[in-house]
Amino acid sequence: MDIWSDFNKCSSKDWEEKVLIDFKDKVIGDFYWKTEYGKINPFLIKNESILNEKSQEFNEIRWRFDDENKLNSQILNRLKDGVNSIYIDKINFSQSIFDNVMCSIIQNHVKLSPKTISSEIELWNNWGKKEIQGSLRMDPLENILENFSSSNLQDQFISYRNFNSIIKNKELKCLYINGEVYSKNFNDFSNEIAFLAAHFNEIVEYHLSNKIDLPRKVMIQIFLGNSFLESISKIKAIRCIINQIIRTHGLKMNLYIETSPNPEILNQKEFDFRLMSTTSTVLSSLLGGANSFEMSNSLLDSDEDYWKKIMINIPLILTEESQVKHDMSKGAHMIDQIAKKMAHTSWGIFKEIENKNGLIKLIDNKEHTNYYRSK
Amino acid sequence: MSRKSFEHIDFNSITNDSSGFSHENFVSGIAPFLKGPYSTMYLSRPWTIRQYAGFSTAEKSNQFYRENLKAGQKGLSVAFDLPTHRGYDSDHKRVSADVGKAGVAIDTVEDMKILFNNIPLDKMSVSMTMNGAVLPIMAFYIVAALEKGVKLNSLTGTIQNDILKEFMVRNTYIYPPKESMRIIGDIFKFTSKNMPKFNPISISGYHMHEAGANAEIELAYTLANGLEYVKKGIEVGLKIDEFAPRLSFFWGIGMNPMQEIAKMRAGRMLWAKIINKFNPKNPKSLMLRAHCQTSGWSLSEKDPYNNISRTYVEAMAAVLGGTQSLHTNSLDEAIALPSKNAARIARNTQLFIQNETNICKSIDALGGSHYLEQLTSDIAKKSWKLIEEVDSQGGMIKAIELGIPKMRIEQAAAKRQANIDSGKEIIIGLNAYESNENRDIDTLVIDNKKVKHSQIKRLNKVKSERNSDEVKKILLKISNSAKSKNGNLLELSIQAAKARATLGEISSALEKEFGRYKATVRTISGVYSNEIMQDQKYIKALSLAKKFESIVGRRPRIMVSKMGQDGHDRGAKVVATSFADIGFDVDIGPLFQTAKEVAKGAVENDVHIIGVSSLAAGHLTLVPELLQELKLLKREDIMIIIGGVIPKKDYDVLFKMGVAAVFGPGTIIAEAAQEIIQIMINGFTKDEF
Repeated sequence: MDIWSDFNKCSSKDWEEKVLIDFKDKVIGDFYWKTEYGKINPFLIKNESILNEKSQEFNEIRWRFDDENKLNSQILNRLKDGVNSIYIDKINFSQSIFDNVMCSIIQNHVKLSPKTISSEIELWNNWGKKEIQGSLRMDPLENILENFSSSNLQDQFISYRNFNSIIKNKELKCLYINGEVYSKNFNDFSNEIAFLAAHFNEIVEYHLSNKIDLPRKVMIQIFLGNSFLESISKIKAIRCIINQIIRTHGLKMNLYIETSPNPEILNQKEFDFRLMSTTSTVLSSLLGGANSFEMSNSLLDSDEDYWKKIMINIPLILTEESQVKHDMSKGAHMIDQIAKKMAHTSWGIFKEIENKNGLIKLIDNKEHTNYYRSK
Repeated sequence: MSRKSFEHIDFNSITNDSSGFSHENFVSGIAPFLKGPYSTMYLSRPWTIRQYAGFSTAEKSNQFYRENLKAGQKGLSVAFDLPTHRGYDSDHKRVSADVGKAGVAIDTVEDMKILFNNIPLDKMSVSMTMNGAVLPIMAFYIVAALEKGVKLNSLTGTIQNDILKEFMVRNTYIYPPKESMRIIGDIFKFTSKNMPKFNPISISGYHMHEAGANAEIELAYTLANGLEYVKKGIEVGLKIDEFAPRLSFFWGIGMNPMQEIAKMRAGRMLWAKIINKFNPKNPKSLMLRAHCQTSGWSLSEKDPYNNISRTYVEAMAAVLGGTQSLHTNSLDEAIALPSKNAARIARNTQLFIQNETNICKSIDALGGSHYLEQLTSDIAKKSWKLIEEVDSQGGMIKAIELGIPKMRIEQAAAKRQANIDSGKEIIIGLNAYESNENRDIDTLVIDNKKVKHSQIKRLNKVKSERNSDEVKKILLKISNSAKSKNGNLLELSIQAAKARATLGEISSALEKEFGRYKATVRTISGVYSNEIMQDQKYIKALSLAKKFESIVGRRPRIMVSKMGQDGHDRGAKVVATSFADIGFDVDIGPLFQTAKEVAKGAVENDVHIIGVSSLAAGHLTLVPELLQELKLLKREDIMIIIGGVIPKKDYDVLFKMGVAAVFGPGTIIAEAAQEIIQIMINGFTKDEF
């Protein structure tokens, strides 16, 4: 027998009527959340979801290394602290980096600068011939917003073409987008997501027009902020838009979304704020269905190993003690509504950019600044 | 090759009206309140940041409250010290170690007036955690307000007054269950007539949660207790709508956020279902409003900074579950009483969530999640089954008398401990991903002697300035009312408070007729060993216990004791059942013993070890007393070990006193057993040679 049969079911309309009885001097719109991507109705009790996108599991707790100094011991220390994934950010290859590192049982990600010379790419290719998991990645449009120049861009694409021809291990190859730059430059979700999508599409177009094989993996790095529901929704909106682009091109690619806290919001903050903010972003990442969570020295105002360990404990606590699993928010009305509105608004901006022949052209014409909102 | 056009491509949206659960389409503000008791929830007002605090003297606590209110806290929640809880004045011989330790000492209405000095009681919502000595404390609060010129009908706040759970888990009862229920009936009658904005009870699952209950047990037994109180209200002649709208609840929030959110949603629906049977006319009678507190048990002594994240996750769960007010624990809670800095961080956790996360722009933000809806449905069904089981046993008072709820909770706690000890359940920094380095943090130290001296001085002053004959007369009236069941005990206690009768005197006047309740100690067995039998640490402990038996000729014998007025016995009970499973003979001493009583019991039972459980910071006073008593009995050979909330800086002090081992929170029990047996074996073999 249904244990709730004593009570009548309600509609959103019944709910809104009750609100207006309780708040006689208000109209229902007064309670809506006004955002740049639309008004969010908190009284919806049905799913308003965008396409039900499948996502890969969350399985990486990662540390980013961007300092060559004592790199091997840094890596060993962070692995001992509990990360299962390392990210080597634009550091020249040296065999000693991996001394005593059991690369075969962890995730290894190496990002090369789009200015990397062929001989350096060769060294990483040789390293990547072993049976290891992870990625070798290069974003040919890196720094396009900050330092755009046609000749630089041409050089970056040459380096990218070399990278694609030299790296042989298909399992390590990926189409990589550094989306963090858009979190830094845009003060709103719609433009950030739209530019990230345009960035992705630009690289896909480059592969297709130059007949360079597209890898099966797409890896997108994004920053998350403290706005909890919006962070969850952002992950879902990005997944939806990127998959829509993949489908439109008729491609088969698996999307991986890699998240980390935006270091800018931690600037000048005390350690307790940093820990809370990081906890909030780990929770958003897990609930939103991200695939990895990345931390780095930039999240701390101390270089002490102790605080790095405390930081690494946060995703471990969330996954092990709290049992928060991948995409547990799936189906949540409020989040679906936010993600849908975010995605629709972003898609409109993305189409506008594509109508202007894409991101590179837009920046070349200096039209991208029209999309900046004041912070 | 031309660029792909996206011009005519849009998203396919899915609109789905059905989640497939029978509780779908319940909302907030309309029974059964799935998404929250109020229609707009945090859209119109966020939850109240209500930090539970109190320590030392009324002056110190008052200063602390005022600083917190200035820093953004919105309501007060008073923690009383253990003597106050148990109805003893600060000069009573049984409370030497407890005065001002785990809360503020309140002996008379003069202390209460100081506690709320410069705090506008007509504007400030005040929550008071008081159950045993609820009559004198309510009376002091009321008289303090009246003497400050505040009218009773303007007082807002909550008194915990949930005595049934005290018999199940928390143990700060004074009188037997039936007599205690009469007190509750009298408070309901008085407040429904005179204090319409005051919640006369906060029905608490928190302490069950902390004692080890899982979500469905916490929910079911709390709601079943609530049902008993409703029946009591009806029995004393009140109509359901005269008191049900002012009943409030209190949940513990642990580390599994989805489970906690589901528990809170299921709880609201089940309570509406329970009250609906009483045919209320006022929809507010069906409404479950809750205060929440993050779990102290989930915090670890090791790497206490991890506790900031733990508390954050729990606070988020409480908020996403729709709490009306919240206490967030301090990061040092597993080590000591909260320091000023730790209390600041705890409060900031809530300010962060209110101000940084935009969570207040939603109602039941995760509602609709398939996982959450399934969990809500499962927890509600399991809890309802348990509520029906209690009902079939004749109600909660009967179930408590049979010891069933306590046993279920203790079984759950022992099982969980075994899972942690065996590594099936991971606690970061404790049984996995341990850190090489531990940072000491500053902790709060209360000068117990100074507090006691100051309390006794004021107590004596009050006694010397009052009309003693008047006090005697009113105390006699209280005893007579307790005996005859005529009159309202709260009204009489208010008269006694006005005449400056003390908390101990009012409690004692009632005790004369009601008696002081002594719980029967029951233990469970086999739960720990069932869960952990394959674990190497457990197997080694078993074998060491056998080795001890072969050397000494009998099994190791331990007496687990609780001294002072600290009734938190989860740790003591878990240790007792696990040690018994490992191969110890275990005696459990009664609660609330003096050092002399413990020493006498240990000698009579001829134990090898006394295991002292201390969670209320009384160890530095009580352990020397115990050592002295053993010396007087010429049994200094009995080994003392201590476990519980013990600051690291106290370890050496305790070792120097002669304590053989100290075990902080998070100790793996099988490892502790090994260490203890090894110390004893070493002692015996040394003596032998």
